[in-house]
Amino acid sequence: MRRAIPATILFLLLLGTWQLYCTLGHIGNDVLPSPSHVARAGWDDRGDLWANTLPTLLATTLGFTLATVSAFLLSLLIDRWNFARQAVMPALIVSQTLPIVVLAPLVVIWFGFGLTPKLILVALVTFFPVTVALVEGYSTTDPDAAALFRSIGAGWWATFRKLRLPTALPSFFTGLRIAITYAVVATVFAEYAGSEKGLGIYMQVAKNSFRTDLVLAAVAVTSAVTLALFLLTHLIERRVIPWRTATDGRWEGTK
Amino acid sequence: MTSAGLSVQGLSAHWDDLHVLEGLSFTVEEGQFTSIVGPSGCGKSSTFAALTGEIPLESGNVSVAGRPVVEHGREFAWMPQSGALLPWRSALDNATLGLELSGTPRAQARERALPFLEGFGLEGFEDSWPSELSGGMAQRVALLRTVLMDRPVLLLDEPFGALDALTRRAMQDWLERLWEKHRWTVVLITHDVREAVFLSDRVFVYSDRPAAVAATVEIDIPRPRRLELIQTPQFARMESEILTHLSLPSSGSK
Repeated sequence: MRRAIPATILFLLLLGTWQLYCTLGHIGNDVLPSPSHVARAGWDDRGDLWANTLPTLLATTLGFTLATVSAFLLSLLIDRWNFARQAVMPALIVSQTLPIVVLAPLVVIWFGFGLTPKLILVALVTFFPVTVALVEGYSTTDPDAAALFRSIGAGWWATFRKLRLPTALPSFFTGLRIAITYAVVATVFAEYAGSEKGLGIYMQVAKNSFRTDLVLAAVAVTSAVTLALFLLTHLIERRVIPWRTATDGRWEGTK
Repeated sequence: MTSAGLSVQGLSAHWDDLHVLEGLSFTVEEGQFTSIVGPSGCGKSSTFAALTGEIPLESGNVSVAGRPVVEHGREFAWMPQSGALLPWRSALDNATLGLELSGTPRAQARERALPFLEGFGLEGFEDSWPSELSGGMAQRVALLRTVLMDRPVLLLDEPFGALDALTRRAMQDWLERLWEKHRWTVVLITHDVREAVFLSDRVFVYSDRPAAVAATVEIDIPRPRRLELIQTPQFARMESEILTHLSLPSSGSK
């Protein structure tokens, strides 16, 4: 917990500066509301805000799970057949060059205001980092251990399950953490382009009625949700990779 | 003469573009401890790679217990120099890895390992992660994994090579006592001539690459052998004979 102190100080300092700037500069609340005003407005509208947070959270976790499961399956194919790697990797990289801002409204036109366009966008942005993290994780397998498995006569599946996959886990979690930070934003993008519910459409509506305070309140909630999911991956990682907790000093940095 | 545990005849092989083995022949009797010494990079490890099927043979025959080895895998229990313990498996689970990969159910594999724990100095460390073990202890886990596979021939590639001198001596003494009890058929690669003499019944001195056996030295020192043996003239004579074959100055342990 102590390690969170510097970050908290910086955060409070930034908020304080913002607050002072608004109060002393007599900035109108419809242009730049002060943090205290945003907090108050968000609190007053908490029911509506919460009702819109849940669909965003649902779409994010669902899309993210979908992407992770498919990324794992694809990484398996890539690891097994070099042909799959050559075929798929370029397509994956191209998928990351698509401008998501422009893509979001199109996906909404094609798939409507429901869950589907959100899932597609989340999967699109998170699939790539997770796949790459897995594939690169496999390739860090200790050559001596691989030779040992061959000398014992282990088959491909046993080698994958008992050697290559555990080797890739630390890299996988790194990829997972990068991906989760994109995931919430991707959902919000999709909702912003058009949706029945969600933080994105909430921001859209608030902006159109010049409620900058509510826009910013929704932004704060988005950040909080991302942060929570980010920390969740850390917790899961500790459960899944206990052998690193035992001695690896790197863990200390994340406490 | 006892039956041939391992017979290698006219082995030739390349490792990538490197010509590593040329007409390599040697025989290891069953229940015998044999060592291979030779110049660095001469092809000692390549011998094991050829035996385990890691590199293809261009010519030559290998037979174990009189039967030719056609498909590689089930005759040799190989221990790589690094030990290759898996960091996500406890000491005990690492020791049983070989058995598990050969199809023994986990519970049964653990049961087979338990009686060995004391002799291997691993009691109380069954659940430790490899990163928590000392260097010597980690190598004992790797050796237990190798032994537990219950294969006819053990191939040990410099198991003590990375240990400090004191630990290495202790490990040699320990392995000698253990071997006297179990009498496995062992081929040990080492660059430590003293270790080779102390542990072996027979030492093969390799030539430069491509490797072949340049000299065979029989170590007819009776067992049990203890560390004090190193100071005897008989031991020194054996050591210097091997060093002569290696064309190295006979002082020091190299």
